[in-house]
Amino acid sequence: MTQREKALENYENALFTLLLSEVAEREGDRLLEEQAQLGDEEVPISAAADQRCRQVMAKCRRQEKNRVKRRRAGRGLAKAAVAALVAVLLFTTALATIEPFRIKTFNLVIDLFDDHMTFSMVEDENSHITPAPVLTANWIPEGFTLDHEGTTLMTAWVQYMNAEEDIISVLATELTTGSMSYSTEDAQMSTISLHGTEAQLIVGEEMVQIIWSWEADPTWLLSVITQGLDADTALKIAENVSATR
Amino acid sequence: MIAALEEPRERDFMERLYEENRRLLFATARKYASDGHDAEEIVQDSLVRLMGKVDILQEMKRCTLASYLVSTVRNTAINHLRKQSRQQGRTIPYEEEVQGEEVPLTMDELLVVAERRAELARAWRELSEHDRFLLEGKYFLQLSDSELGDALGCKAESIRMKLTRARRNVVKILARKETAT
Repeated sequence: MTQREKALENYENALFTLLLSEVAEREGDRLLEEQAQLGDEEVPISAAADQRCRQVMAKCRRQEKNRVKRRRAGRGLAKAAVAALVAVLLFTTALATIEPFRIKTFNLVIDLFDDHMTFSMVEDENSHITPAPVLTANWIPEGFTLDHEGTTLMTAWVQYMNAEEDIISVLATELTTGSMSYSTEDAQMSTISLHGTEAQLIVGEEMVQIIWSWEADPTWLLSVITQGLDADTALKIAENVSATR
Repeated sequence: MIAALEEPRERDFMERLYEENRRLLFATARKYASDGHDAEEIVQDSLVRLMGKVDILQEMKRCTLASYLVSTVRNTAINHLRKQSRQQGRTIPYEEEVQGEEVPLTMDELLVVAERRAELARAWRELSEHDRFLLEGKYFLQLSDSELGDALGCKAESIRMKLTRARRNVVKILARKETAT
């Protein structure tokens, strides 16, 4: 197609779009007049049918809201991974300058706030920073593939994703450097038993978070975070996570 | 786009739109549906499509909006009928493919259409239902050739030729009117 032919086609499209806009206005005036004449007798709509139509709109809104939330949460997880890496760099600097820091031991403390839960360590004695565990998800639902994985001094993670962009993240975080917060906003929380220890189960509308202390080395916090999966599936994934050195 | 529906203002808009126009939606659907159940399904499917266009709908004048609603229901109804026929094992043959060379409108013809747009808008119903459906789908609902092909039971590739013919028929209306005067 030559440039002239292309320009002519664009003009034709624009012209017919304008024409149809004028037609729509004219037709619309006629339709509004017709609509004014339509009453319950002419177009009976049962209360049930009316209710179902409103439910369809509400469902659309919910689906879209969840889709947007999921997309935002996905971005949040990526940011969290970046933040963890930045923290590692800061920690490495601290290690170089504050030697006594290396020989402290810590106890796990869970603080519950209105909208989040924080896991941190308080000082004890005779401990040191231990190497990150190797995380293995021995079971994941069908359709998920490895998205990315990594290990640093203070954190290890493995993340899976499916075609619908549902996410499974398995994380290990060393707590002597600070604390980890998990959102509990609009979520139900409970304590469950997992890998021979107590675990926190946080079930939100789209996100399920399961957090527990690694039995082999309690200075490491393990968690499974899923988006777009139900709590039972997330729990099955967590039950099949292994952490080794 | 539809993310805007999270905002209460947009949600109110859609609820008000349905409240004010539900009779028009159902009345249009019933022209194509065999029973009340089908009509309701057509209206529901139309609402789903309209929910995805909320940002466009909000900018429309009330009269244009009424046209858009009816065009959407009509388009949905035709798709619905075609799908229903397939499910019932009835095959609707693809429309005869348009043969021949595609001859676009000339610049002179386009200028005539541009000059006499208002006259054409008044004479719109003189076009065949098929041509109106095609042109409304393409230029008003902004449907893709595939979507139009699905609705008309023809291949997307032949939509281009059909549109050329429909546009030419628009010019023919003007020619007829000129001869009449």
